[in-house]
Amino acid sequence: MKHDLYRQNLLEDARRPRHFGRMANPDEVLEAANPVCGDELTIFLKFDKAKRKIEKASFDGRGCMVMFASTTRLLDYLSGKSVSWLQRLTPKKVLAVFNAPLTPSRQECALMPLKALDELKKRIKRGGRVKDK
Amino acid sequence: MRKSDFPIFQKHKKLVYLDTAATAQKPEVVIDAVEDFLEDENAPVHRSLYPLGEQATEKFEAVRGKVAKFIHAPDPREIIFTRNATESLNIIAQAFGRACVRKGDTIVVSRMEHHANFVPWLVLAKEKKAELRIVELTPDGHIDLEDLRKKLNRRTKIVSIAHVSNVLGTINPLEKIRKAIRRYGGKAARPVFVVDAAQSAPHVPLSVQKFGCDFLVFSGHKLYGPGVGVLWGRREILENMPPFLTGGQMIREVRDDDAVWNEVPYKFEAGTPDTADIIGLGAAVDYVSRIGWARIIRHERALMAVALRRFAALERRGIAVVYGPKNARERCGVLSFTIQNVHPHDVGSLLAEEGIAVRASHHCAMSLHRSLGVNATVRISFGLYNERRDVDRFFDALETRVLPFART
Repeated sequence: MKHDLYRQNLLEDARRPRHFGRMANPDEVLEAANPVCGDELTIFLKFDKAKRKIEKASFDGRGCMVMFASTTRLLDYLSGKSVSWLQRLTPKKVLAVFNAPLTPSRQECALMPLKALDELKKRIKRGGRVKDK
Repeated sequence: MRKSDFPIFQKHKKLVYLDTAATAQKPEVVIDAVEDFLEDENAPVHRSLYPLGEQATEKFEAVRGKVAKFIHAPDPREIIFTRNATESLNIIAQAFGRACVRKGDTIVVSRMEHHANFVPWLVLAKEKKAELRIVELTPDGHIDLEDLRKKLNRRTKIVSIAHVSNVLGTINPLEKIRKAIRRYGGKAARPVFVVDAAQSAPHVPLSVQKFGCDFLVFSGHKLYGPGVGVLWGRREILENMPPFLTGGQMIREVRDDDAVWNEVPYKFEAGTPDTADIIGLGAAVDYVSRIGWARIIRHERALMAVALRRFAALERRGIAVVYGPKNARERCGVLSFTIQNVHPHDVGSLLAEEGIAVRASHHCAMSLHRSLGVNATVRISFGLYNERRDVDRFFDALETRVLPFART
């Protein structure tokens, strides 16, 4: 089975990613890394005044095309979403957003943005809050 | 040697397998040897009085002799069967290392070691409050012998070095290393010299007598055999070494309050061995020996020379970087590289889409990759079944699928 991973606009999203760039005054700076391959990802989030909804999201980092494309596509969805939407975000959903055939060995690359968001998700689950910058 | 010796290429006709350094494909004779044993001759070894058992024992011990001859060891009793080279190195670290390393001693390894020949020593050094010293490399991927001399001292108890690097392909000068150990290492308690031959066993002849080492390990699965490993040790050392796994077979006598160990090598072979796969290893050794080192080396050097030449052109275009010695005579088996602006995972996946199997990672050598300034590389490695056509198809796929991404 030929995996047409690289033919499905992956190049476009990876080479010209949307939402790419450091944010000026983020509420949250969430990092993830994969020491195995050296991929590094930082996601910046800005919330509304009530700290319930994501107003803006951007990212910075270096990594493979899958990581870049997956993060770009996920961040397409993030703006306007609530914290509870974030809490309900699963690996399955992230891969569905990525929407391209992935071998198991590449799934970790696609799930990097979720890995970064996990820090915030765990904190909220423990009763913590979105940080106030 | 022919691709047709290997059944997997009948099943996967388009497969270009360039990952032998991870594991080798198996020739029909090896698969048959394992199957035939299980179908026609399977019986316990060393314990049975009936003909089937005695025959199995004879076959089993014959492999020990074959392996001893393969590595030019003086005595088959110095051959211990394990699961793989990683296990063999762990046994040396735990059974030998624990007994002889003290606080303040030094253990010396090189920057190019595979984690199997790094982590057990790291763990041992931490446990014993000993110092792990890492010998650095020259810019072209050789062991810096000057640095080796500096890192050896009177407290050096163990020096463990790869014969061939699984990333750089560098063939290390084991005799020079042994000479340095004798000269600059501890005199009273002579440091023990361990050779990790996991990457070299399929590509170059081994001789523990020539290397002058005290231990040598390799993995059957890289040598076109099944998943069993070998640990060779000098008889005097093995006899004085405490056992690793204990239980049946490795004892001579068990009382309520004490046990008497069996003689070497059985002292280190507790429990029932993977007899069928050890028989398979014997068949693999036969297969390689029948082809002969002259042919094997000539075959692989030719493929490596083509690969190096084509990569040199890519390097000149600023598109690729090749790691390790540039001279085909100084390296064997593997070639690791990076492509400008294309992540190793992407290179690997793109090549996979063309039916080409390579490895993209740190290849269990994170320390080496850090010193190279990269997190991961792409590695191609050759086996007996690779042909010139495989190398050509690899470069075609690199050019058509990967290089378009290299231009920003």
